[in-house]
Amino acid sequence: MIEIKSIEFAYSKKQKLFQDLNLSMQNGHIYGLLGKNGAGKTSLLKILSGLRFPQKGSVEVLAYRAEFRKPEMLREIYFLPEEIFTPMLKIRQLTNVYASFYPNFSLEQYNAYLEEFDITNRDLYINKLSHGQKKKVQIAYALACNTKILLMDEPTNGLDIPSKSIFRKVMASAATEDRLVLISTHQVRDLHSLIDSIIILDNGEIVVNEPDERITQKLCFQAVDGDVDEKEVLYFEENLRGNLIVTENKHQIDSHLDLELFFNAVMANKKRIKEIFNA
Amino acid sequence: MPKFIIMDTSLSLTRIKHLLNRYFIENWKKDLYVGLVLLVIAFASNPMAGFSGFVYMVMVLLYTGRIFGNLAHKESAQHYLMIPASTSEKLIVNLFLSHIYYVLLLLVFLVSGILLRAFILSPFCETFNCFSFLDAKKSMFSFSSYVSFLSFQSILAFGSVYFRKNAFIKTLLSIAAFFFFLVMLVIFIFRLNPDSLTPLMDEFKVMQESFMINRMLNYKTSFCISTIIYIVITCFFWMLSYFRLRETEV
Repeated sequence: MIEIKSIEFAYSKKQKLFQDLNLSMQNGHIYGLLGKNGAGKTSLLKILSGLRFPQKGSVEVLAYRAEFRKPEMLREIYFLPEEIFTPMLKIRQLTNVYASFYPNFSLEQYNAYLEEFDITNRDLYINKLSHGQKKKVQIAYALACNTKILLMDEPTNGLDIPSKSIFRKVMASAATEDRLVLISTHQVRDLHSLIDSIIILDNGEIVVNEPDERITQKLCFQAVDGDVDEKEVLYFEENLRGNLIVTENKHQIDSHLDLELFFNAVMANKKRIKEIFNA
Repeated sequence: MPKFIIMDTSLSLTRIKHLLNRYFIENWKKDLYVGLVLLVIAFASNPMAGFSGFVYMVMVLLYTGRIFGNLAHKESAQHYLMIPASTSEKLIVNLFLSHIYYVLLLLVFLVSGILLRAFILSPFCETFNCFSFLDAKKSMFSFSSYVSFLSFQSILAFGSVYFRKNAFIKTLLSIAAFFFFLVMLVIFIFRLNPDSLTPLMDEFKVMQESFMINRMLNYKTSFCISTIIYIVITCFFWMLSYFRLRETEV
């Protein structure tokens, strides 16, 4: 569905953000795109949606070159940016204006998602809503477009606590076998239960692009009391209840993936973790 | 899949209709308010003084100068570029809006204001004065003046996609700067070599005389040439706008 081949991208000639970056993503997955500030998560989403052009390499989305922004591609991809644009329209008018561009748009689903988010009055102007409310309307609309590819940049920013759990619920219901969802986020705890594949971006390269099961198959996440053997441990964090450790899963121990711990382990021990996954 | 495409020629009337529909739903109130302001100005001012006509022209040019206003801010630009329509379709819609829709819409309000003034004030003023303005307008909106107006509009439209923020002012400043430097260059060349001025002036006089004769003889030819030049300028700047829009990154 998405094929990035050897792209090079920079905002200035001196500092390249991506160099020889390769990435492949398939439908039927909810990918979590993680990375430190400035790693290039938003830029990558923009390149995928054709809003930014790589200086070298190719980006194919649904077999279309992303930078050409062909309508056939755009009607099957929806990009929900972190800072959303809010037209001067009523909530119900949004569908009158934009839904016609998306062949699989479902008004029924749009209304159902709005109900889930507790937005009942459809005669309110979107630009007069609070930031969180605007985001809910845009999420409902993005999901109802039923595009094959959905790109979301920090979708839970600005949502209150109950809305975050509603977001997880609606996202889970909207995830289908023929759909690819890519969520860029710092709020890993918010989306932990939702994401089934992890992509970690660091220093212009994809360090990890693995499904959850493979991560827990290769690595073990444990909470231990007392001292830890630093030779065995890839990463550890001190906790009030002991130490949280990440080790290579040599003995096929079942453990639960801790996304935050995993991300920190990758940042602290990138080379070793890459070796483990490439073995 | 080709590596490069020069022009995306995919055109769909349905998508153009959707884009127009989007424009009208989002902007009908603004257009109505602007039109009403023009109507009030046309009603309140003496049409023979030409003030309302001037305001009309400025309003049409202002509208055109902001035709790609969606690109002025990051959020709206992202939203606009992600609308599932080709660059050609977006351009055609903006071309229609600036060259036909704004010109006609504001003209309707302008003429309505003048007519309203004529009907309401007819007991107090001479009918001839009130309606003669409309006769004067006929010549103002002649084909040649409309075509020259289109070429100026196309420059402003290009400015709006090129500069994005404060596009109207920046485009006017660029045009002014262009002509300023052109005049300065000519003056500089003549200052450098004052002798070159005499034969050039003689040549110019000969050209002018022959042009006057030609003009008298063949008015149609000069009209055709100027019209073609204006149309070429218009097409050129819309083509530039197309490529600029296609290459726009946010």
